[in-house]
Amino acid sequence: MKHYDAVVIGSGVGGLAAGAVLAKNGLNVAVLEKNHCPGGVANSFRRGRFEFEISLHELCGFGPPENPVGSSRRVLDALGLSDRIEWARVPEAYRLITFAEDSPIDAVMPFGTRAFADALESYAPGSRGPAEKAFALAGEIRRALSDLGRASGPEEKRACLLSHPDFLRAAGLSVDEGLRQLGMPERGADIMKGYWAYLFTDCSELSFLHYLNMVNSYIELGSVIPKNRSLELTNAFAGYIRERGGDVLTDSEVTRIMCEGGAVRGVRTRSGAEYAADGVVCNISPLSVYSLLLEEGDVTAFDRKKTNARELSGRGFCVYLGLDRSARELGLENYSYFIYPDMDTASQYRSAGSTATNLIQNTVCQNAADEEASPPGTCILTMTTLFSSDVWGGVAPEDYHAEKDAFAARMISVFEKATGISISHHIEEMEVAAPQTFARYIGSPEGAIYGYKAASWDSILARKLMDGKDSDIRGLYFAGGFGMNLNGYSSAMSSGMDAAERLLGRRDAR
Amino acid sequence: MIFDTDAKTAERDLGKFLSLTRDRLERFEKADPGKPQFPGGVNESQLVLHPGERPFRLLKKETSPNGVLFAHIAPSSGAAPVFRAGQQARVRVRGVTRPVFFASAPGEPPCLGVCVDGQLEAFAFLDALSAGDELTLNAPVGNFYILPPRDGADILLLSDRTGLPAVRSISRAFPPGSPTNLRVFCAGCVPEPFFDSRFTAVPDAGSLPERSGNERVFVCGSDAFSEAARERYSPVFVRSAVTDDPKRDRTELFTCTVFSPEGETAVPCSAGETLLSSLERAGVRIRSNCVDGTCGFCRCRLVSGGVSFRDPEDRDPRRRADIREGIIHPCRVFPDSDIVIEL
Ligand SMILES: Cc1cc2nc3c(=O)[nH]c(=O)nc-3n(C[C@H](O)[C@H](O)[C@H](O)COP(=O)(O)OP(=O)(O)OC[C@H]3O[C@@H](n4cnc5c(N)ncnc54)[C@H](O)[C@@H]3O)c2cc1C
Repeated sequence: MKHYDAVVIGSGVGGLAAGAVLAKNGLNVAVLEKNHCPGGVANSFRRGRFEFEISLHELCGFGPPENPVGSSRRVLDALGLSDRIEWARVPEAYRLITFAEDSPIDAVMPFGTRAFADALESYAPGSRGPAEKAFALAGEIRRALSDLGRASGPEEKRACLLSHPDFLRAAGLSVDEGLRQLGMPERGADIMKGYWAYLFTDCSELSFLHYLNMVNSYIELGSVIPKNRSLELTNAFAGYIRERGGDVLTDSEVTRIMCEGGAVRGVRTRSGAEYAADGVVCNISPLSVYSLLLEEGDVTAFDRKKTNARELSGRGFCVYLGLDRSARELGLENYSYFIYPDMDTASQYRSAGSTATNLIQNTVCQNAADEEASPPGTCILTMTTLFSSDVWGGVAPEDYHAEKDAFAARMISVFEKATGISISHHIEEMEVAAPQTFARYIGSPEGAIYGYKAASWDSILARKLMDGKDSDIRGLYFAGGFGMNLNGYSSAMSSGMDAAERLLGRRDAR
Repeated sequence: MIFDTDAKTAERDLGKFLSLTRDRLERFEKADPGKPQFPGGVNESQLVLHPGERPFRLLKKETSPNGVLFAHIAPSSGAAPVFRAGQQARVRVRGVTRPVFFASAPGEPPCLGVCVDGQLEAFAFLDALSAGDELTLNAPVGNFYILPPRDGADILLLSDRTGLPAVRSISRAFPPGSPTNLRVFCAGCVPEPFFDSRFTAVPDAGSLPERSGNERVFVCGSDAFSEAARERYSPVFVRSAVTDDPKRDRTELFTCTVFSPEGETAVPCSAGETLLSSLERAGVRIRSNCVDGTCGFCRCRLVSGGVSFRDPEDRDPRRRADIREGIIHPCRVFPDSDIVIEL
């Protein structure tokens, strides 16, 4: 049986980051991927003249060359990959459109904390001060977290926490409560909640600290996309692993994690190949791992309960459009459009549980960040929404194509109505991905693309504070969108790096 | 100070902070201790939409006036295949796998069709089957289908003899009177029983009609037939499905050295056919699926040597990041010299 120091199950960016950090530290690693191409959703596909990005709208935590900080930078710089990729900067934060009859919003929000606060003031007078406070609070949160990381022992931690009262307050608030306590006018708060669908937990429940941290990262550092799609990131990671003697094996679906005496021993693939390994990093959901990959006898009651307690986050639905006119000709001036009926996020979250009522979307025009994203005279528009329930699970296979075409057509008409831009006569290429597509492609439960829901009890802070071990099984780690850091490229990469470091630490300890 | 806080509120906030982990732990403790269950729902229905290989049985064969073999089949067990009209099934008979068009509309008893002129090998192996024999179908493939939000209501559907199975499937899926208007022209064909008032049989590709209004042009036929349509109507309006492997007028033989996880081999390859055809003929284990360049299953790295690409640069089906890594799709390239590839 071939032996590896560590095996990674799944080659999404989380798994690849874990594999790369392990390879960097001299471990003999294999990343096993069930698909024919590594990357998970960090991938693209071609139709006619167009190459469509599967997932990435924007990568956050990747500061510009003059301010090279951020969580994505931390991972990519550590591996020397930042300069291997051609980046395009996203031009502005977002355009938020709501179409509630009483007070519709149409706001274009820029990057840069000052510019953002100015714009907010112009759309919602009285918002500048609270916005400035919010960004200051984000800085205070960062300082507090870093101090807290250095404090040891309960007494020191307690003292440290009490010396950061603003952080302590923010940690206990929801987004809605937090913005209210900062004195943000309602309209300003609505505009500031534009990014909520990125975390897909409604703002009455979503942790203010978490949300603010994310918003601040976007607004302060801006965001980027690889010009050659996220596949370029995938290829860079996979190349890095191979250059260091590691393997990235495709068409290798893991069907069993083998354990012995409470510790991992290796994995088996669908074709029957077995690989011995001292550590296993799972780049897939704990639910998949505990329900499908482990023998029942190897799993503790606590790990079972932990898995059963958690809720899935959004199930993905995307419409990929190649249009036969340039963005300028069509009047597509912005990069990222958040379109919501209104900003009552709790009711929007509920509405997103059904195809009849889900009207939210985040739509991206790739060409607004990179004119060369498609041939001259054309552009690419990608529409994404999320479902807060498994509604698509109730669609009979024989109705599937008609249902997804109809829902896609409605997303297109919602976009047209919200922006006043007519696109339906310019669709040259179109592809639709439903939760079924994601379930098949990445194997996620219910086609969830955002990992576990950041419910108030399962917030990022609660996850981090409990940290410790990933599993009762020794040598088993989790990385990626279903990991500690929640979903998103930067989070998935960071969680991959963290998982690798925990695995390495355990190795050193032995 | 950002919030209105004092020592007392800080103590209260600290209590709340400390309860974060306590609450989470409590949730865990209270949860069901049973074995976690992987969901059914979409995870199950995606298996029906994209099943792995499944056994089917041949019920009946018939040959049409244009030399099309229609094979009526039924799954040995389980649900009927789900596909879109115009898609192909990957069919395996005794170790050989070929894409074969569905000739039935979705929801009808499944029927496959292949023309003697087109995918010769596919024809040969379907022809070799008799009623009751088993064949294996994989998930449907191909992007040759009408998508109303994209294609609008007016479709000009063109085929040669080899494209008739797909034309049958599409015309039955969009019957007369449906919101999608079809005009169907079949070149070099005599009328088939399934032709209706929307069909016109024309002598050859030279007598195909003009495109009218906003019509999208769907072309199913040989590589040469599709190319001619692209030239005539502009590639922007044409969607095509090709029924034979691209060929080129050259005969040199080269050597292709293949590195794969299984080791190293060297096989002959011809300048006149796609690299994939040569590799398959030589028995190299290489995955493929759509064989028109889009799916990327046969994606591999060109280590050295020269190749010509079947597609013009603006329709190169490779992805940009892959091009930077020296990736090629063997189904869409012809070798120009001895080459080395890495699977
Ligand atoms: C439409 C969409 C838009 C998004 N937009 C953004 C965005 O703008 N910004 C952002 O930061 N994030 C975005 N995300 C989220 C981000 O893409 C993900 O959080 C991140 O890519 C998840 O990576 P991952 O490491 O969890 O792996 P995944 O990409 O989920 O990959 C998991 C891999 O494991 C493989 N696998 C599964 N089971 C097995 C098995 N048994 N054996 C072997 N391999 C297996 C799968 O095939 C897959 O390759 C988006 C996601 C989607 C889908």
